[in-house]
Amino acid sequence: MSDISYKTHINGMVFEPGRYDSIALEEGVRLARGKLHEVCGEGAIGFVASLIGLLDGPVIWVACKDQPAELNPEGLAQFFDPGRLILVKGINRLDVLWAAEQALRHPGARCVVLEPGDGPDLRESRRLQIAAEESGALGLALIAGRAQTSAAHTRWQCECRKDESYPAAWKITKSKDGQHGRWRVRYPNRMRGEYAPGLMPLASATAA
Amino acid sequence: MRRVLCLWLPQLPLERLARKGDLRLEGPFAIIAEQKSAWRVTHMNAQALRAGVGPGQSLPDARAICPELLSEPADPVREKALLYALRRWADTLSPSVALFEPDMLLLDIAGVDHLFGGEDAMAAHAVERLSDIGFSVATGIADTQSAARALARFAAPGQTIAPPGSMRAVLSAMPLEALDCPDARRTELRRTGFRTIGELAEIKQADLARRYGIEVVNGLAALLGYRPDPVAPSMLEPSYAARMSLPEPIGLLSDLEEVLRRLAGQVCQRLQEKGMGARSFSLTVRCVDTGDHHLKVGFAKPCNAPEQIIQQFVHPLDKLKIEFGADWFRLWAEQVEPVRSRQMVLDHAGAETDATSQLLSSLGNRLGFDRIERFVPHASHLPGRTYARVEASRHEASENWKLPGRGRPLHLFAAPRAITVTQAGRPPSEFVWQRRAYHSQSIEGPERYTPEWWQDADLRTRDYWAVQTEEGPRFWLLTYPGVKPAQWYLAGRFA
Repeated sequence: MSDISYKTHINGMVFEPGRYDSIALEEGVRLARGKLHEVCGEGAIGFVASLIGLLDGPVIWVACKDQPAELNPEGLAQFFDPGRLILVKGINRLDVLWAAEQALRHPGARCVVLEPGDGPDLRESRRLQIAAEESGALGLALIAGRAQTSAAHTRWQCECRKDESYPAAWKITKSKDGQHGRWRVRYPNRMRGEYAPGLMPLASATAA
Repeated sequence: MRRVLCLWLPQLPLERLARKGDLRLEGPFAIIAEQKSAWRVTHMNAQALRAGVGPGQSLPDARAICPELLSEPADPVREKALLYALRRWADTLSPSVALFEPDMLLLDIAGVDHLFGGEDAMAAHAVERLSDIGFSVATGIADTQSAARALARFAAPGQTIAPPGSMRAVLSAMPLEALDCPDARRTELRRTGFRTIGELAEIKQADLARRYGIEVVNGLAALLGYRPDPVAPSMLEPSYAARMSLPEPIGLLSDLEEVLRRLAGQVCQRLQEKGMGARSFSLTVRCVDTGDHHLKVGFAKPCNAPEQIIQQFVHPLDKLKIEFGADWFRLWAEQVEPVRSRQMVLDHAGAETDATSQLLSSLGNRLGFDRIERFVPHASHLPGRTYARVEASRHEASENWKLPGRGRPLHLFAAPRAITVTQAGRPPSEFVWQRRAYHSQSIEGPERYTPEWWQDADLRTRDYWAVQTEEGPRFWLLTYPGVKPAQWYLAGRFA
């Protein structure tokens, strides 16, 4: 992929892929900034919270009506400072997508989480992707319903496990730059001074 | 030595309507107001007066006397606005002007009257100017403002100027109404037999004070110049507004934005000079065919940067339908507050908040500012009460978050969800939620909380259990101990 160099012109601005750095989860596992990433599964919120803990700056969390009402800042405090959260309540899916696009495009947002219900489709995700490229913000789409074919950079499947020491399992189910893998995950805990999740790679055959 | 000019506009409400070209004023007409539980006449024009209508009459009486009488309720807000406008005009006469509501202007003219050729020439000048714009006016010039007011109201024409130091001589024939004191005192004075200020001034002040109270003595002293009674000039409220009218209507979005840019530049310059910013801006666009359109944008924090204003107006302007063009614009700032500027270079976090608040403005103007919230900590021991959600644009982010001592769920349901217990236990070893069966593997608990009796209607004690299920998810179960049969709820779920 890296030998294909292209530039995109949008609104007179030049975007180059790889302009922004990426967030390292573990050796070789990186999440690119300025991209949209999709997160599915029961453990999706743990994934999102762990990632926010690795970033700094305000986090815009866009959801429909009362979904953010269920977020518990006390629980999130284990991962990051809940004062960084800004909750945006849209009335419908369109509002959520609009607000997320605005937020992604804006230089003030470092991380935007959106809960569109079903995953964004090709057109929607492409718009979000372009918006994220403009500002270099990290876009995370929490998909509760059906995931669709989309222009997102990666898609993660996150599950809960009954194991006390590794209570989550993450898996890359789609990646545009060819990353793949499965991990067992120990959540970070700020109370114990841990800020990054602990990842234990698994061979695909023994994945949880 | 102070000299005060009082301009009394006795027919202000009527003249306000006359200036608007109200045709009803050609016949008998009265302004009415609700007084003493009836609609009563407060002002009337000459025809009504000739027909026998007088101030204080109730409206039915006045109509009986003069059947063709037309009336209009008083509009104190607009009358005050008109008086305020006249106060701005009065700046041409004297630098220190005060309003005396509802219908008087007080000007301190010490040292300025010679510019107009003396006090009487100045008064004549004011009367002429005001009658040119349709106001009838009575003037009075004296050493104190109460004396000037009394002269304007009660002096015969030609005797409205009291020479310096002669207050007592000039005012002695004035009726008791000239005195500033409560109506009850005035009635008492009249019952005693006093009719003029002169009669009152002959009484020893201590006796007056003992019998009628200190207000009467103070009023009298102010009137006669024994105690200072200066004009307290009112400050003009700075107006953060700008307007533009064009010779030809315009309709292109780029032209509109250019107009807005110039208006915003003017308003923001004035705001910046005062170190102020506004939380909301209104723009009136007057279209040649469809009249006025009012657009409004809000800001998450006080703003005085033209480019931000333009940015927020782009969307509403885009939505505005202009067919034949617009030729008049007015932009004004509302909710003006001081701006606390931050050092941008060293304080990186500050720059970040600026960018964030711009984003909040963009989102808030489209979705509504009440839809953008943040969490703030709240002092309570109950799960779900330890935080509050507040409007993000009105509250700063808090840094006083305490890390909870125990693990807390990431999702806390607003109302606990009932679950179906299929295998009892404490907590249940098997339960069904959303048509999925869960088996508990390991449990932690209970955490017992008693409710806040000063807050709650629900006074049941709560037990929370953290349950790791064999299926993977970790839940926070809730039960109310002592309730038979035991009911189990899902209070939240962990990461």
